[in-house]
Amino acid sequence: MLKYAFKRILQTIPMLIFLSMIVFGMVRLIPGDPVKIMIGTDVASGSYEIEREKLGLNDPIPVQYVKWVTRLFQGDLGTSIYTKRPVLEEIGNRYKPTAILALGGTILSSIVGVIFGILAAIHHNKLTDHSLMVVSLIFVSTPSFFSALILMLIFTLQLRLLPSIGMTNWRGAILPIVTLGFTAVGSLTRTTRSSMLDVINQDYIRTARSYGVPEGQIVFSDAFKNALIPVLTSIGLRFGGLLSGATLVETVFAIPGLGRFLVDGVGNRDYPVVQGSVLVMAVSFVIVNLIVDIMYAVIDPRIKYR
Amino acid sequence: MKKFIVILIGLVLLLSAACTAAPSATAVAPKTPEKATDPSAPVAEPTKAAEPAPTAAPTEPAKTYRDTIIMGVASEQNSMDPAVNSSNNVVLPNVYSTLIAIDSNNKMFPGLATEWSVAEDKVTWTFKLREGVKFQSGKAFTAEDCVATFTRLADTTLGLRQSSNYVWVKEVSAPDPMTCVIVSKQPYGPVEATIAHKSASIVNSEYVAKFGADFAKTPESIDGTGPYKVIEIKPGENMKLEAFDEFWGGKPATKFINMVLLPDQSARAVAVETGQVDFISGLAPDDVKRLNEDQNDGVNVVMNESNGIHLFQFNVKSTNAPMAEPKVRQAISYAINRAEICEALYSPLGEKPAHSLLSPSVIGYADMGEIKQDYTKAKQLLTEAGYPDGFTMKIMTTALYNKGVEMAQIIAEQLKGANINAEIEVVERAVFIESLNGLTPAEYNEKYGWDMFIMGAGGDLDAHQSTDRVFHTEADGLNANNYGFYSNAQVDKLLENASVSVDPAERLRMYTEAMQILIYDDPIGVTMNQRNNVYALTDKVEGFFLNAGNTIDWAKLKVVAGK
Repeated sequence: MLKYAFKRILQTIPMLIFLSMIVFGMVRLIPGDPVKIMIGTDVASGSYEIEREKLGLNDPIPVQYVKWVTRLFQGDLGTSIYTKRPVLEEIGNRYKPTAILALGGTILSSIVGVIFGILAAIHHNKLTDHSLMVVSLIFVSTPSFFSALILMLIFTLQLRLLPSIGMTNWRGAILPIVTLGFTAVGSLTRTTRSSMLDVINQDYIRTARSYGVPEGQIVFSDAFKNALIPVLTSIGLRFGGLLSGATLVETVFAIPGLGRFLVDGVGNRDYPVVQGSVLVMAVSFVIVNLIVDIMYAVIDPRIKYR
Repeated sequence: MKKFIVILIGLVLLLSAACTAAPSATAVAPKTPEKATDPSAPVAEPTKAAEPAPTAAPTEPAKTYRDTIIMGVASEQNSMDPAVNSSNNVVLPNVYSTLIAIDSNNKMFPGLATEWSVAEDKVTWTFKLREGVKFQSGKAFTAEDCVATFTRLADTTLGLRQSSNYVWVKEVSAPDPMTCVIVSKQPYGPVEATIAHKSASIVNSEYVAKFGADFAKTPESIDGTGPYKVIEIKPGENMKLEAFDEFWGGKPATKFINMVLLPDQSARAVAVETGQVDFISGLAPDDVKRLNEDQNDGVNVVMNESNGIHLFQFNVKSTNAPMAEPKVRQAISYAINRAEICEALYSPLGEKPAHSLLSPSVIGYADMGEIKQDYTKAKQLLTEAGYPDGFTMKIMTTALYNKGVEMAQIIAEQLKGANINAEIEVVERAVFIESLNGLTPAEYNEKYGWDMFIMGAGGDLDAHQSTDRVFHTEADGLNANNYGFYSNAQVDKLLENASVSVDPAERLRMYTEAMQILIYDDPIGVTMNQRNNVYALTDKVEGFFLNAGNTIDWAKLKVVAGK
């Protein structure tokens, strides 16, 4: 198992290199100049060139890339052009809120999505199924900033139950996590439902039924366990969506997270910030999906990693 | 369930009400006639002794005040170094003090200088400094700090963002510990207004020497003589400040200020409505409307005239449309109905058509009247210019300005009445900034091809600061400051003469003449709305005073404790 995990991690390295190259090049291709944004319009033009030279932005892009990677291996993600603060330190401060959001959103959407999916599958083509499908469609198609404002209006403004700014305590985390979880519930419901339907229609379930095994036991221990693998894959992949989807939620609920940092970075054309945050997000995504892969073996003993 | 449905329906209604920016027939006034400016109260009162402690009010029924005020702000300060900061005026004037202060009516009064005068030669300015002033670090304030502050600002080799406003400084000296002398290269009209600007905040000379490039980057390297000292900065989250009890203007009323960053406009409004923050700035017109309509929400909206306006500026070197022709520019100006735009977009904020490129609070302002829509005149001017059938043009706008996109859309509609067909391009911040940065007309026309673009004007205390840099012909012909390549020899001459005159009446006459050309005869742009500073505060906030420069005097702020 350990060997497998190690191999998987090694496999991700070329992917990360490729990704970093793309991000590095793309952020430099979009129009806008970080130095101009930083120094503003009313500075003598001489300091513009000095600043560009100081930041190494006049070097050819491949040279800049090699310099960046070299420093990366020394544990240095560079310094923000706009704020002049070390990128690694800033990411360190902002990683926790985003991780809480993405993990909370994943857990919430997994629980709700799986329950909805099972209910829909066992009541296949009945009212419960149809209404759950409509609900999941609504969840999938509601933009998170809109659901954020709706939840804020209900629970903060009207009912005065929950705070809407910051995430300083567990109560402050409820609305952002629910908002974020919402966006993932729809697709998980649908995946669980179709996966469950596949399994329920198989021979061994019919056999179990004919032996008079209680329906509850069939659904949860026989059917669900076998339907779980596609669901787990879907959860792992959704995590990446939640990580990046946190940006809007962070803005509305005033949470100083990684997503907002990245978006501000793009707005300021702050190259080190964009490169650093994308890299950290990508690594997180890879790790979560590695955990998901390892869990396959836990759920299904037939799967063995060598 | 029923209750939930009722709430849901209510919400949908509320949302739809908030979403429609329907022009209301009457201008919305703040529901409590609270005035943001108090004529009797300067922003910081130098002579007044320390105010009584918040709890000591023996004659009144027990009213207790909280020890922390929480304010929700839209953006962070881009630096706490006065020589670099180009953000709003919310924080700096409460951490630092200037030699000359500005009161809530935009009048100048003694700050760290008790008196000042200019010598016969019109270039030597002598400032007598206030005795017994202390920095937050405990250091006594002396002329050394003055010299360090202005020497640093005038040094263009340091690459400090505000240095361009201090090129007039020839030398700074301290003949004795309580006197500072600033000599200008030539007579300079706006010396006092520049000295009163937040960039001229006096910094601790020892800190400048000690911290060098790291000056004012962390709370430990920030030191001012203002009422509050910075104790914590969390980027992207908040900034905490603590009262400086030995502040020369008297002990501040509240112990702590917590400035929380709330980037989303609607979320900010909800935060103040639910009392999570005590007041907020930067409101959307729709939120102001909702807050004003709800009489029982315990929130008051206060506004006052700011010293900035919105305008659409012309690219007079356009090769795409006949913008070089003054009559065409005049025609565009007459084709636009400013009153209608203000009514439709800004009525909740109380914003009206601007009467000048300057705001009434600016030194050198004169009322130039409102340009009314007149299609006949516009068409006649176009015919005279040789475009009886109109032409096609391109307008650039950005959502960085409040309702900037909607404004351009209405303008494009209105221009159709004069047979001008306008195309709109909406850009984001990075592109907007890049387009203003040292391009030649040919580069600009090729890369962007905009004939008219959204812009702000004003923002400073003296007309010179708001006009000379942006309206004067640029020697190198690039658009780093004069964004639309505008050039008018008469305007240049008036602006130059006004800047070297130290006679207020003469300066006013020259600025009025320049405005006549800039707005009517050879228009630089189309003036739009005179902007307001808008705040929403809970009814527990006391002592809220604001000036046109958007400076709140924190030292007097108090918030009643309890529900």
